[in-house]
Amino acid sequence: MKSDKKFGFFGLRDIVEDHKGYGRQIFLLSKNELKKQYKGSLLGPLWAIVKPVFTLFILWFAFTVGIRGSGRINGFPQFMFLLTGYVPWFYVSESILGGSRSLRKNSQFVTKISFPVSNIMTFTALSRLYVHIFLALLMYIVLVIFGYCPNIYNFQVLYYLPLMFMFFLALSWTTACFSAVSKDFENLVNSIMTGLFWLSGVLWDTYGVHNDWVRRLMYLNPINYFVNGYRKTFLYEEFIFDRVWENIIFFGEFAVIILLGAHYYKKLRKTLPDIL
Amino acid sequence: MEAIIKFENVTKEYFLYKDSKARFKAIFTNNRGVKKHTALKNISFEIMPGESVGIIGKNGAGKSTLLKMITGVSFPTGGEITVNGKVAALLELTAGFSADMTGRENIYLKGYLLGLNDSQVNEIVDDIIDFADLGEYLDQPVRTYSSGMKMRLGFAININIRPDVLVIDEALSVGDAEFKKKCRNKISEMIASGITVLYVSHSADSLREICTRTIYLKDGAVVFDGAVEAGLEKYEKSKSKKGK
Repeated sequence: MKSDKKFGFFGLRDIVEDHKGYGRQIFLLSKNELKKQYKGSLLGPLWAIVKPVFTLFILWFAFTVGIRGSGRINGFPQFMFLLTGYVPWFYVSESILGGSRSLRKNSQFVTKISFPVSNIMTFTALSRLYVHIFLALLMYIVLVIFGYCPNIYNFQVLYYLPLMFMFFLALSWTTACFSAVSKDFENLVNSIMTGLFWLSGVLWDTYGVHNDWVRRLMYLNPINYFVNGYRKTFLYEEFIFDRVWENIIFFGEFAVIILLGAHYYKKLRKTLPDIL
Repeated sequence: MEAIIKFENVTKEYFLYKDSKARFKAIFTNNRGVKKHTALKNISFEIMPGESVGIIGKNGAGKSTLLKMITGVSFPTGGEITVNGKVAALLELTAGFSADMTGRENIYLKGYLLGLNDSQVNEIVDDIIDFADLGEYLDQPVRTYSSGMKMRLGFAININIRPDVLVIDEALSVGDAEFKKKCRNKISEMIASGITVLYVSHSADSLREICTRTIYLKDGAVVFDGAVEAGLEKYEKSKSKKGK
């Protein structure tokens, strides 16, 4: 293979080109992706909602009814803390897993027809986003009922939500291409996800770590940026850029992810139809 | 006149991974040391608008690879391919269908996939419905269709997008005899209207009937490009030589 030596940004241009004039199609395919996942079941795409809501219900039951009054995290009731962590986590884990599988799952678009391949990652990510927005709304209703919202900080979700979408979309440019080449890579991603859950501040407060170095080390995990971001927005009443290093590290990583994704997409795009 | 399809020194290589370990390694080593299979070797030709070209050759000669690159699914390893126009491929008729959407929704979906916008699909949707003749099934999910019905819908869509180039693989089956006849008539009609046709077939009779030129591929190279009769003769000769 004569690989193009041009790096990074040229691949990004390819991806932007792929999307031009395909808005409607991407929307249609994202709807279809959602339907496809739960086809043949009575509730259909509602399962995407029911599953996480059930998990949250169990958490509520365990921490509010079961282990009653067993303490607070960062000054907030455990359930509220977990709720605001789990809701972004569901999206993060679904996007990482779904993103890396997206090409394999939609291989007919790659191997049978001429299709702008990077749109596959986009409609897959969008289909997950719908579910997340719905869950986030449910979460918000609960927070309003218990008196934690509304307040002015809630508007920060308009920053975190699109950013979260873009970040994990850009990540899937690399992971989806690699998974298409090798199924082992897909399995690797699956295994990493389990560990990542415990390293992310879903169940515990990464801001609360006493050791300065360890606390800053946690900034390296971009998932924390969003999990903590949601808590800042809906629970802590804290401003996005209050912690400077957290933001610097995150955007540094984001830039690397975009460049790597664009690079590998450009490099592998033309061999994908042959190896999928 | 400008060629509608142009191949300039096109080469196509496929990677042959030994096993899944080799695939995993290839991610990090940039495919270094992976064995390659050359499917097309340095091929050049031009096809003018309105020509009907038959592609002949044994299995594995590179016919499918050639067609896949014309339809824009696959890409050359070296050289350049220019296609000036919309290509309708009667190869993978049901590709891109969504099983859970209705036939009608799939007409739109497939239309978008083939590069049409809403108003363009609206213009041809009645023709498609008419041609596919699905009756009440039109508004049922495609997963409930028989394979013949799916083919009919796929054929109807592909043929009605007003392509400039029609790519046909003879091995294609499109349901019952009656529908086959309907398809054949439609194809003849399109050929008569001056569309460019690429036709892959093993049947000498239908090649003679449809084509005005043949390209004979052997082991990834063009060994003959010219009149139908002469091409078929050469092909027959090499086949019988092999047989002895």
